[in-house]
Amino acid sequence: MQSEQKSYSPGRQNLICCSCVKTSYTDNQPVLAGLRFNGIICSMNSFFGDHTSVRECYDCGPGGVAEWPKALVLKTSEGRPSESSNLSPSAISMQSSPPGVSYDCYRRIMMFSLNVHGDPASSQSVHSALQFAKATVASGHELYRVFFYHDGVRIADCNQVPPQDESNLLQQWVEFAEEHSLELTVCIAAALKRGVLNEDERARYERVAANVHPAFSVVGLGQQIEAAISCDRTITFPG
Amino acid sequence: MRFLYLLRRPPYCGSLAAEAIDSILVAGIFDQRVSVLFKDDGVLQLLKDQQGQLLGHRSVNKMLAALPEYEIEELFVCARSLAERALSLDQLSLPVQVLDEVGQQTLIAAQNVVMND
Amino acid sequence: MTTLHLIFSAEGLQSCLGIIQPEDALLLIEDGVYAVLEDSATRLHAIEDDLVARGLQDLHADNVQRIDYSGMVELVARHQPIVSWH
Repeated sequence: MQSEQKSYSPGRQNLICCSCVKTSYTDNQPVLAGLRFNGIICSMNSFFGDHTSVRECYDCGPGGVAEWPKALVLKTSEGRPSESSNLSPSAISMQSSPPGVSYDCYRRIMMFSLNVHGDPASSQSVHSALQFAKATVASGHELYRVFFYHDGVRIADCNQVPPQDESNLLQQWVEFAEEHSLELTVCIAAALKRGVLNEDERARYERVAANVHPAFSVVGLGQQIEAAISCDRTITFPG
Repeated sequence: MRFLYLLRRPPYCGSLAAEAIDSILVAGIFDQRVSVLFKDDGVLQLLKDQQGQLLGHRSVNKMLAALPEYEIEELFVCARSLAERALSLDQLSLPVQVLDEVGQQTLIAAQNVVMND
Repeated sequence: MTTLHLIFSAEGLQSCLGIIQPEDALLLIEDGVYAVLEDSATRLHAIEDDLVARGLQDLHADNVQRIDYSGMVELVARHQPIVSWH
């Protein structure tokens, strides 16, 4: 059964819920009223800045409110996936793919937030988090924020001099963040306590020198909680 | 969202406990549904009569006393962790619910986010 | 959804085992990979780099599935919540 034809504004992102996909589409290529597109799913955050807004199915309205882990299928007025959804397909099994549609067409982009707690000099935490972060991006998912807390704030200290035969974690994180426009944050309270100060804090507390690498933002704990609220998954690398 | 803080370290293990509590309070300010599960050495954070000032710290049990003021009242302790340390509820400084392992499974499975100390 | 437990130490695994549900996933990471030295029927994943770095690559049984960080990303995508056990 196909749903009635609707008009779509050019470029408008219309999201439909899984139940409408089941009733409206046939074969492996979802079709709606003459529009044909690849069933590529986009992260909620790609389209809605307000993560708490109710996302209604364009076809069935409030009856199809999308909730995790239901997938939303993007369709555009041109019937082509938008640039932000342009991913290479890779098999991530979905627990509930619509009947008649190959789940290879569906790949849900997720948004991750990382908490990193371990001291870079005495814990593997910062290294593991970086490897996971790289794999996240390589897999086509997104990193919302990396929040360094407890002894993890020491990664931001630009005075560290790692031994020649060990990796330079600060440099690696900075390069990664620059390449992917990733927000690296350190908790201000934890940083102050450990002598990791940006220029504002150095002046405020009349200390000798600022030592926070410019790639890091010094922020409050609210950023840690906001990231967890905004993301699909929060992963902690403890010390 | 449902946030669970899983606290497993003793109270004066560096500043891990104090900093975890700061995070819990901020989650409360953000109006999230926050629970706390004290497990393993984490149950020791709740002991009465701590005098952290002897170590130059705030007493962790007194910091935890702020939780109900932020409407964070879903506080749980692991039954086994209490028993292994021969502790009883009347030795703890906050009202908490004791959870057996099945209860802890259910609690964790219901969460969106689990945070650690 | 089922839970993913990230095990960062052998002590963490001991603490976690009592409360896992049958459908939960367990991933050994960092020093948690030393748990492969103990006999276990529990199905475990382990980060390959962490096993090999510690010389454990030939010392684990069949119940341990070696994965890379991309495999960890897939596990994270498929489970919620993610619980870290230090």
